[in-house]
Amino acid sequence: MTDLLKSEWIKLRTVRVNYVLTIIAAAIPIVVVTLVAALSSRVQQTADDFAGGVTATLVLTALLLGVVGALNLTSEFSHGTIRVTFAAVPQRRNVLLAKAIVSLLATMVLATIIELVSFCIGAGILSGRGADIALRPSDKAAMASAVLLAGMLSVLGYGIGLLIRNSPATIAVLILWPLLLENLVRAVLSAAGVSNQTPWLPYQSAITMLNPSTDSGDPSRLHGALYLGTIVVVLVAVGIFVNERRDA
Amino acid sequence: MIEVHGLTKRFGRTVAVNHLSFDVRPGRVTGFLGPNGSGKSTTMRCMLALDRPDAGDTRFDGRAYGSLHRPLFEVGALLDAGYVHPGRSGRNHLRTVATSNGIGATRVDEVVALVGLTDVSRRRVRTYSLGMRQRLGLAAVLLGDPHTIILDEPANGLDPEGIRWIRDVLVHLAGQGKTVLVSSHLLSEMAQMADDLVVIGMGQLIDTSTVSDFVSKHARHWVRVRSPQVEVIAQQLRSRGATVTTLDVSGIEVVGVPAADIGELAARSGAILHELSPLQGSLEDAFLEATAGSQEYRSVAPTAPTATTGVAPGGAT
Repeated sequence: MTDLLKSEWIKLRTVRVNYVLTIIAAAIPIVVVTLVAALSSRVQQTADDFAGGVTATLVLTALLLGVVGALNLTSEFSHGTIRVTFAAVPQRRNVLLAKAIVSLLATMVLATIIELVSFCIGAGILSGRGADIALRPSDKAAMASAVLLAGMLSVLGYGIGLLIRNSPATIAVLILWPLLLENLVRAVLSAAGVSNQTPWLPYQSAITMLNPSTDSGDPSRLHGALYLGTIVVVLVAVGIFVNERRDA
Repeated sequence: MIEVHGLTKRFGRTVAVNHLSFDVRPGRVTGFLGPNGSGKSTTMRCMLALDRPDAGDTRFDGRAYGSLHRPLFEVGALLDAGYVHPGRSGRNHLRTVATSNGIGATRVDEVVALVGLTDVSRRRVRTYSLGMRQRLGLAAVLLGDPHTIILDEPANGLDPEGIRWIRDVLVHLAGQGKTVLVSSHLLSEMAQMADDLVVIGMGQLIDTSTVSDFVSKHARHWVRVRSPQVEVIAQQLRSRGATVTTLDVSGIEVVGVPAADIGELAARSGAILHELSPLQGSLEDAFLEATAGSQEYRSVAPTAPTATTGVAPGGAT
């Protein structure tokens, strides 16, 4: 398994598009947080909810890192390299698990670095402008949740890719899931008389993990993590099951 | 030793490979031949557990491919030189493959040098020609110094020097006792490098034998005769039921009578012989004859457009 993890790590870091997407994923929160910290007219108010501001910008980062996770797999199918991979290691389950683990770990490490860099830059600017930055336990939980969300979206993209095996379609589903699919489900639930739809929506439930001050109607962080996490695990398990039996 | 037993693969209603069985012996280059769409590539994918066969199995020295751990040390396969991420360098492509089997970077650099790609190995594969990609694919095959080698059309895109190089490599590897199975459409090349043949058509085995036996069995045989009294000989041969084709005033080609019999006939007739050559068709002739009933795609000879057809510039009519 160690050899497989090393091989997948080489694959991940030897393709330029992964670097481009990661740089964009890192630049978005860093630039936004820096601008907000530097230009905000209500400095102390911004500082009071600073962790929430950082985690909010990380949603797009998580989505982009999810795209990297998806491309890491689907590019193997589109370029035919999956046949080279499976010919080198016929135990497909091990290969696919190694790929998922590398995607998950790389994404979570990157998300952690991006989040910390964003926070430190913004906090430094706000402190320089005279504001006090205090990290409450709920802020820390929200920031940790942002890293977890990035990891889950990365593996979600991977799981969708396992089933669809096509890069554009996988990215479309990954992006349309939160933007379109869950809003459609929300509308259906609303029409069915469900007053609070968010707990039923896996992506939206997970997003609430990033909010340091959750409302009483919001699902808990544990609910968000378990709901989306379960879907991710099921998708990957089904994807591996199917790919062990399909022609490469 | 490769043993293929009763391999069957269907895609929907199409039977791509139909109960195919053959053996590939070590120490020999075995050519895998068949017309386009005959199931060669599908067979190779099934052998390597990439496609799931509906029936049958393949054994490499008695073991199924799927049961091999670190198979690069046992079987090296090149199915398509295009199976490379174009944005990755050739060296990094090899590193990903090598690392999965615990093979280090030193061996990667060795095989890169072996196939002559050292100068370009750090360039991205999208800048490689097809010939360079074939060499890269062959480098991947050689990573684990396997004792069984499977190549699908390895000479595609190679220049004459590259074709000769790959032929020499395969003959050398077979000389080391390795089992080499190679498919190719370049029948002249196959005639020069293969010892044995497995010929399939429409997914079924047509023949498996040595190259010389295959050509003897399927190619046309005839005798070229040159003599100042060629008409006398021709007349007697026709009366014996032979097929005689006139080449020129002193030459004929004869089908259906052995050269020795023609020589005796000429002697009895008092005819002087300037040439008596038993001739045999090429591997290509034998292949076309053997697979005549198994061609999925048939072409017709091009014909010139008639005056009334009126082909407009750009091809529109």
